[in-house]
Amino acid sequence: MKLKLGKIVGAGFAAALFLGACGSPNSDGNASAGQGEGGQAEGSSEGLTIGLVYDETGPSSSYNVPATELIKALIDDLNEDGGVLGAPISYIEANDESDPTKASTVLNKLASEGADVFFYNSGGASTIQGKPTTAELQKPTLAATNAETQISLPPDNEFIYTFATGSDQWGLAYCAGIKEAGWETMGILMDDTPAISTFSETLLPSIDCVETVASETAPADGTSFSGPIARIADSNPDFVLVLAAGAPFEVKAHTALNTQMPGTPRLSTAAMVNTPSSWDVARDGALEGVVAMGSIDMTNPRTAEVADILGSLGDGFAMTQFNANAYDAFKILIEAVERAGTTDSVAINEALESTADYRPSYGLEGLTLSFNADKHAAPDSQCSLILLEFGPDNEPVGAWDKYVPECG
Amino acid sequence: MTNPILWSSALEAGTFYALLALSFYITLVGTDFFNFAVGPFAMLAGLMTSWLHLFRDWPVLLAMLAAIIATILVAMVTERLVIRPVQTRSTTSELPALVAVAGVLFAVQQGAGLLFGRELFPGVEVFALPNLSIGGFQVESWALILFLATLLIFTGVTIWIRKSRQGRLLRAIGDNREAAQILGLGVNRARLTAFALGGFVAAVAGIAFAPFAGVGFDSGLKWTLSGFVAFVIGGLGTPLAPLIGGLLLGLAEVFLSYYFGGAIFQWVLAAATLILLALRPQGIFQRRVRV
Repeated sequence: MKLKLGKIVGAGFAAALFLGACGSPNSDGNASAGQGEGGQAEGSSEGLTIGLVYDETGPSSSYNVPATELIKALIDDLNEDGGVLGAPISYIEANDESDPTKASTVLNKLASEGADVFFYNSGGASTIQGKPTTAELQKPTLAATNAETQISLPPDNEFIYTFATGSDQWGLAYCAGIKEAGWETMGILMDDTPAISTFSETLLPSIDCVETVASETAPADGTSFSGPIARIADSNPDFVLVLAAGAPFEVKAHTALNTQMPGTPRLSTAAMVNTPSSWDVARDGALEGVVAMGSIDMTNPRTAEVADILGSLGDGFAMTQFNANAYDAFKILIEAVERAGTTDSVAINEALESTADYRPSYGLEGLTLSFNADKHAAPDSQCSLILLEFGPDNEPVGAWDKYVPECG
Repeated sequence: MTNPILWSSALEAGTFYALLALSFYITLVGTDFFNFAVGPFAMLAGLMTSWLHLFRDWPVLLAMLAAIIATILVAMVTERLVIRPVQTRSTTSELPALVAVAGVLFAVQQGAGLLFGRELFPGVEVFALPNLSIGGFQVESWALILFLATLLIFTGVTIWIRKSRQGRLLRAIGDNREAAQILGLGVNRARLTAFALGGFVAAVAGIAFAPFAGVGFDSGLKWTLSGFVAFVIGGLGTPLAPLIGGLLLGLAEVFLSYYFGGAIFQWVLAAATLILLALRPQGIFQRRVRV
C-alpha cells in the first residue's frame, strides 16, 4: 500500500514536472483546444475556429491574459445563442510569452490545427515577427491589445489589424499636455524587453517637443531601480516618462520614483493604468499625480453600455482599454464573418476591410473605427487617447486637465 | 556614494539575496546538492500569504504560518519524491538530479500560477514597525522587518549549525554521505531536515521581501538566479558567507547601475560571476578543514 501510494504521488509529481518544464499547459506552441457550451471539435470545417495566440506567462501577460479570457467568454456567450453562421465557434490557443522567436511557430501550429482566424494578444516585437506568417498563411489576425504602429503598416500587413491608436500618435497627445504644463526636459525609464525596444522606436521620436536629458533602461524583472533613477535625478528633468511592457515594472518604477524624486511629475504608458489589480501593489499614495495613457471615458454612453455587458459576463472583466479593444475586435470579427457568409479566411479578410463607422467601447463618444485595403489600424481619429491622472488612493480619478482630446 | 536612498536600496536587496543564498547554503551543506528551487519556494510563500490574507480574509499571521508550513512541505516532498529517487538511480552523475530540480522550479511556478492566479500580488506586512528616520530619509517598516528577519535567521542558523548536534551531523553527512551511511548516521532524516530548513528560510525571505514590489508566480526564477549568484560570491566557508555574498550583490546591483547605467549591470554581473567561478569557485570564504 505504501509503495503504491508512493508511486501514485511520484507519477503525479512527474506529470507536474512535465507540465512545468513546458512552461504551461499551453505554452511554446503546445496548443489546446476549447469550445464554448455546445461547441464543437477543434478544426471543424463547419464552424469558425479562432486561434488565440497570447502572452500567458511573459512580460505582457498582466493584460493579455484577461483580454484573452474575455474573448473566450464572448465566444461562450455567442455560442449560447447558436454561434455564427448557424454553427458554434471553437477556439484553440497557444502561448508565445511575448517571445518573437516563437511567433511563427505558434501561428503555423494553430493554422495546422484548423484556425480560420487569429487573435494575437502579445508584445509588439512578437506580433511584428509573426506578421509575415499571417500573410503567408492568409489568415486574418486581430492584434487586439497592441498599439505598435508598425504592425498595421506594410509590408506583410494584408491580413493583420490593430485597434488601439498607434504609438506614433501617442507623442502628439503627450506633447499637447507637456506644452500646456510648460515642461522642457524629460527623463526616461524603460524596461529592457524587446516589446518596449520596438515600441520606443516609434514613440520617442514622436515626443519631439522636449529635450531628453536622461534615458535609462532597467531589467523588466529587476529588483531595485534606485541606481537608474538616481542617474535620472542627477539630470534634474522637468518630468519622467516610464515605458513598460507590463504593469509590474511600471508599478515598481513609480513606487521608486515617488521615493527618490518626490515632486517630479511622471508620465506613463498604458499597461499599469489598464491593469487595476496592479494598483494595490504600489506603496500608499505612490501613484498620485501619475498621468498614464488610457482610452476609457465612462461618460461615453457606449463605454458604459459595454461595461455593463462585461460585468454580466463575470467578475473578472474590468472595463480597461485592453478589454475594450478585445471586445470591439471580437464584435468586428463576428460582423465580418456574417457579412462574408463563410468561414473562408480570405473572404473574412475582405469583409474585415469593409468595416466602417463602427462605434467602439473606448475613446470619446465621436470615435469610429474602420478598415480598408490601405488602412489596417482601426481608429478614424485620435480621440481614442485619453490621458488619465491617478489620485491619492492609487486609482485614476479622471482625465488629465492639461490634455483634452477632440474627435474629428 | 553619499545618497542614503542608494545605501538603503542596496541593503534591502542585499539582505533578501543573502537569505536566498543561505537557503542554498543549508541545502548544499546538508545534502551536497544545489537546490535551484529556492526562488520558487520563496515566491510560493509570498504569493500564498498575500492570497490567503487578501482574497480569503485569513488573519495575516495565520496566512503567513500556513504559507511557511506549505513551503516547508513542498521542499520536503521535493527531496523525498524527486531528488532522492533520482540520485539513488544515478549515483555517478549529478546531472539527472539537477534536471529534476529544474523541473521542480518550473512546476512550482506554474502550479502557483494555476492555484493563485497570474497577476502581481501586493505583499503583506506581517506586523507594522514605525518607520526609521536616518538623516531625513525614511527606512520603511517592511524593510526593517526584512533586516530583523535576516539578523535573527543568520544568528539562529549559525548557532544551530556550529553548536547543535543536529547541525554538526548535517555538515558531516553533507561532506561524505557514503561514509555517514556506513557509520549508520541518519542520512535520510538529515537530508529532509536540510530541505525543510532551506524551505523555511526561503519562505521567510519571500514573505518579508514581497511588500517591496509585490510578488507574482513568475518571480521565482529571477530570485533563484540572484540567490545563486550571492551564494557563489560568498562561498561555503561559514554560515555568514551568504550574508556577505548577498550584501555585495545588493551593493553591486545598486551602485553599478548608478555609475554605469541599469542596462550594463546584467552584463557586469554575468561577467563577474563567470570570472569568480573560473578563478575562485569556492567563493570569498572557503572551508577550512583541520587535518
